[in-house]
Amino acid sequence: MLNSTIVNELVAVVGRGHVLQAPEDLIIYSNDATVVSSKPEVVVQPANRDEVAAVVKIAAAHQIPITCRGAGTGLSGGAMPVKGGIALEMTRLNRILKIDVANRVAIVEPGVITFALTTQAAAAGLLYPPDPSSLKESTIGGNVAECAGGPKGVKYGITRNFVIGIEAVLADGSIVEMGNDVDGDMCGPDWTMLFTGSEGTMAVITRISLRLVRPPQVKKTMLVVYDKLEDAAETVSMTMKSGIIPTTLEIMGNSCIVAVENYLRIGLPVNAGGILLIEVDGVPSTVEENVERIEEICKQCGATEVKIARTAEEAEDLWRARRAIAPAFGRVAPSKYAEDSTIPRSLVPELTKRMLILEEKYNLPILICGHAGDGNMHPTILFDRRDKDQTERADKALDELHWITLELGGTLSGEHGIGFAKAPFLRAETGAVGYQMGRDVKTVLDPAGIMNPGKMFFFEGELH
Amino acid sequence: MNQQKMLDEIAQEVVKCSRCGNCRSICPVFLVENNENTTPRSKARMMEAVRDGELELTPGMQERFGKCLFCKACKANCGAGVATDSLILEARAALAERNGIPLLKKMAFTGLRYRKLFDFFLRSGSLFQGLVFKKLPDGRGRIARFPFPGAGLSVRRVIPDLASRPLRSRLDNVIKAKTPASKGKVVFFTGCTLNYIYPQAGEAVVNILTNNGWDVVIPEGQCCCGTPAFTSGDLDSGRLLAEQNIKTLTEAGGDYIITACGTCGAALQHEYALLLEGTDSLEPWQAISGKVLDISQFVLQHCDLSQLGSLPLKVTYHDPCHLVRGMNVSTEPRQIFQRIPGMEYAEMKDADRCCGAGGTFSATYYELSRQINDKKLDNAEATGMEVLVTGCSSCRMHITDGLCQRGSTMKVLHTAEVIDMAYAAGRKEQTKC
Amino acid sequence: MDAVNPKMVTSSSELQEIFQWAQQTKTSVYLYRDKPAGSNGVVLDLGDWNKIEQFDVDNLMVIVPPGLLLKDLNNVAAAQGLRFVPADTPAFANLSIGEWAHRGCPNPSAWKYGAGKHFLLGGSYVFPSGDMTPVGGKCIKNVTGYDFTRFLTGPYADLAVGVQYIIKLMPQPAFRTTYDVEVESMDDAIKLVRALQDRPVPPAYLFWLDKTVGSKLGQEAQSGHRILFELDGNEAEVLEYAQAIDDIFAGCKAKLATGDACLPELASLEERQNEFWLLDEFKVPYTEAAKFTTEVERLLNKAGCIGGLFGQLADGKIHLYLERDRKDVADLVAAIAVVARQLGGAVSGKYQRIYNGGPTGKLAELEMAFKRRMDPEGIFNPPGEVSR
Repeated sequence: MLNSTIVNELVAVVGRGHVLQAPEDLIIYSNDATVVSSKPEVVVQPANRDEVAAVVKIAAAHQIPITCRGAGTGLSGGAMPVKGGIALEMTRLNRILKIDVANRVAIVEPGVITFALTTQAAAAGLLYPPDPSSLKESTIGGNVAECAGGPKGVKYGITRNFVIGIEAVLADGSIVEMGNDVDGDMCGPDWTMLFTGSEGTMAVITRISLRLVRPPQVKKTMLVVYDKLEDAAETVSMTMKSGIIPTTLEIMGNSCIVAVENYLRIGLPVNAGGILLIEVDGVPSTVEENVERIEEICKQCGATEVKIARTAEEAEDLWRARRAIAPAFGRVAPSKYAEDSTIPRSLVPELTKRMLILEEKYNLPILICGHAGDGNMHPTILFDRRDKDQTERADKALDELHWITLELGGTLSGEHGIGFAKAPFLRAETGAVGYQMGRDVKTVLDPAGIMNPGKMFFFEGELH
Repeated sequence: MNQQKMLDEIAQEVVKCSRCGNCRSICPVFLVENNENTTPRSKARMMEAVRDGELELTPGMQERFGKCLFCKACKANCGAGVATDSLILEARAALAERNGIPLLKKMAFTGLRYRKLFDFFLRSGSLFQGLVFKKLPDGRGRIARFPFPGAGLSVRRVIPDLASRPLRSRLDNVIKAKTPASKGKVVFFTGCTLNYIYPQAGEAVVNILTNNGWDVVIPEGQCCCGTPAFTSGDLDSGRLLAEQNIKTLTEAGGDYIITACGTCGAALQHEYALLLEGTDSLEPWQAISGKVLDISQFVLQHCDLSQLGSLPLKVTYHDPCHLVRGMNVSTEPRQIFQRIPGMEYAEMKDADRCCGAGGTFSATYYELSRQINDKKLDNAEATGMEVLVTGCSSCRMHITDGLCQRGSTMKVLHTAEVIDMAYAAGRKEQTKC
Repeated sequence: MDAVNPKMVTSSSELQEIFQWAQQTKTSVYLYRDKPAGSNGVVLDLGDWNKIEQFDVDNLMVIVPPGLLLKDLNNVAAAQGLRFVPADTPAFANLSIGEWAHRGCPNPSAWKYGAGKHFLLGGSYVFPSGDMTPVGGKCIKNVTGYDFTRFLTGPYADLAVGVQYIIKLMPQPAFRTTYDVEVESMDDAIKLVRALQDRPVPPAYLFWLDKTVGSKLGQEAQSGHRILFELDGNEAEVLEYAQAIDDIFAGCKAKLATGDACLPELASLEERQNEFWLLDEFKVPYTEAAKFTTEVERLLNKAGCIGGLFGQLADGKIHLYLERDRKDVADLVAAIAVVARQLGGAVSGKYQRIYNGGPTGKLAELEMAFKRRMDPEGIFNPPGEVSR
């Protein structure tokens, strides 16, 4: 694999200070935000596209795997170097190259932190909607590679709805451009869409052109309480059917509410079956009208309480519970599997029921929350990985969770990606032909298999 | 504290880390270095690897743990509640035990233990400082005549004058209240930087206390709070200093122990727990730790704010890390400022982000601490205010260095100085009526 | 197989068999285009394959076969208070879903609702090898595996045949109003676009026809530039918007046109003989559109060719009309492409792919490599002289 000659070649490209091989570095770069770890052989930190291309050429010449990395906050093991090789940290490419206000296009390097883009776009009077909860840390490159989502996905869409152009370094070191900076639609196979969500297995993305939109004039937030989770889910369906597409529709089940209340102690309704956090945005007259109509629908569906925020502070307050979910979970148990099973929206109650059964079966807390508006749920299995028995049960519960998702006609991942974590189930969802097709297209782009090997369609463990 | 026990405690903390990476957006070191191996997450990860036998406690690892300001922002923002501050402290201690600490630091910490010697050294330092440091024309400080990289002195760094007479040499040990009747006795723990470099802030503290009717005791036996030592991993020196302070403060009695430095206050209130675990001094410490108040807390709780007079200053405030996150004091100074007539106040962006001093950090990593400080000063200057007020003399020192280097006219004052000036104005206004 | 009459196909298994047979016998198979004169290949027609498979009103989702016409799909949706946004104007109403996807999912309402391709949630494809696979799924958010839903549907890519499309529907808007105006100059047209761009919400669609194209496609001669646009949303919002429109019109001297305000039908433009219509080739930001049209006019005059431009001006999709046989346009198209690029725009590569021998470049090489795996004998829509 790696020897001192190759390391010297790498040093010649990026400089001694940006080739890291200390044992501590290899450990530090062995994981993303999942529990699994696998060490790279070296960490390389290129400064720009040309350095990236040069590094890739060296890797190609010596058949060294390359695993790209942004902020390393991914939830599917995408940035984990399963086969060693080079961990390519892309965060030095962190310039926002251009924000074209008139044409509403942003062109950025992959290491730009998403929140930095959102902030700069806002300063220019524009909105970049995809808002994964990691947006203060995660990078655009990572978001594009995983096709990240976020609460705003219901109304505005996810990362792929905004990518119109990509420049990338292919596995042989050549540089290609796909899409365009106007509308992203080109003739021929949709390469931009193939690369978005390709999780680092196709190429190293070195520049991204993104669509921006006009920010909404006003936004209203409401918190709605229900005795039964089904009623909350019904509200979601009825709202969409009535012609209103809210900006955000977050749902929390009872066990989730209890966990958050134990952490925050702000007087959440711990006997409620479910809570909906709803946001509508747009033109003032429409927002007023929609809020009224939604309130009516909520009550029709059995809501016991509807709280509408009147000021920005009140809105922030309503969001507190939702934002406290992650830390609240941390207080219940130190380890977790935070999944993103996605099903057709109307099946949210069904999924919840099945999670409750799973909870009992494996005697572990499985808390339910998620983006109810698009069926992208986040069932989270909580356990203590120091306890072998608990971990075994958690692993089994996780497997069953995926089966349930597929059985309900859903998809394994709504926003976290397949990576390493869900790869054993990929073929079960795509089918044999689809799985082979995935392998075929990746092989065409990366015949030597150096781009993030061991993930997705090239997972080397047992497939279900 | 034996190493295995420390490593066990570290392991308990480390398992909570969900590796989410949220600490990347608030660690001041990471925000400048942009490198995963400077994040708090990386420290938890390394300790996990130590636990699992994948990494050793090497000098290389010690260096990485040294590259942390101990600003506690990570702990305050950690969703999983990982006590990164304890983790880093314990890791540094374990690493120091294994590898020792740099000689210069070792000498300095040992020196700290010898209170009278330390005092003599610094006082004579004020006599001889001109040999090594030349004074800046605007009177704000000195710069080294030649670089001392090991001691963090680059030739552009502005350091303050050592006071010709430290605070504790200027004042008696006991100062009576200036009011006819005394409300009680408080003990003033001065801390080193205030004592040797900014005694005027200490005088302000004493003025506030005595004018508000409190007898002030400044015990002679107090020594360095020990933070520079124990945050570098030298728990032994830290413990000796802690024990000396506890003995002194217990003897001094008093209703409250007043600090004017977040680091000293946090040490006396909380940090000593790690040093004193399993020792005889633990209980005596617990008996007095509850008496510790920062001067701004004391003023808000026990002084008459209506006596504050008019002070037409334009002010912004920097939250010292150990005051806001170590002692939970941040609304108090602001509440007091609101009560001062004529004062204009503007909040700076990221007021509670570290100024980059980090105690010995700025010595070991001067350029990095400068970059962190530059962001703080950009935010301060953006407020358009004329005075930057803060409650820590180390922050003051580092901020002053930065302001000098960028030719800023902004002045720096200790919170106590502002309060004292306002009270003085109040007294003047009353005598006029 | 009858060389003249196309073969009707109405099921995946049929299609799979045909492809398997075609591979074995090395017979070309054509779909969504005519076969070249003299070829003994087979032309397929999926027009009878048009029964809706599943209509999940609750989840705003419908599963359709390739032969269903867009207008028929939209009518079914409308009956439930829903709509398929790309089918909600007359522009492509007579295209089948399969053909619509084959052309790149054109969406006149992209300005407000996003690209047409994002209304696909998934589907099933039959490859020229005879293999079949589902892609995507029924969920609105889906990042599982690669985005084959869109990759395979790439315009004129011919990697596979869509045999099932899972489509996202939207609610019908509560209210809509359409405008049909004429402005004198391109600058005025841009002014109008810019004014609408500055509004909090864009129109559902905006379509522009210059004098030449407008006169060609319309009932009567057009004296200036014609712009059609629609506002949709809640009634109060639309009426408020409408009030602002009067001021906007004054600012660009717009006159309300007579006649019906609706988009022309675009589906069969490119089939016309002795004329050359090229949709979806040129992408020019609207801020540069005036310069673009001036330059194109100059090129046309120089070449002595009558022609015009039209399209979704606000989104930068500019289409071309040339009053020439398609065999004689290569130079002009190339020159116009240069102009588009110079102004910060782009070309989609459609002309090169369909009329000029096929795509070139690194990505094209990769495309061909992938295609060979899915079509070993190269029988599906093989490149070559195609006349329509």
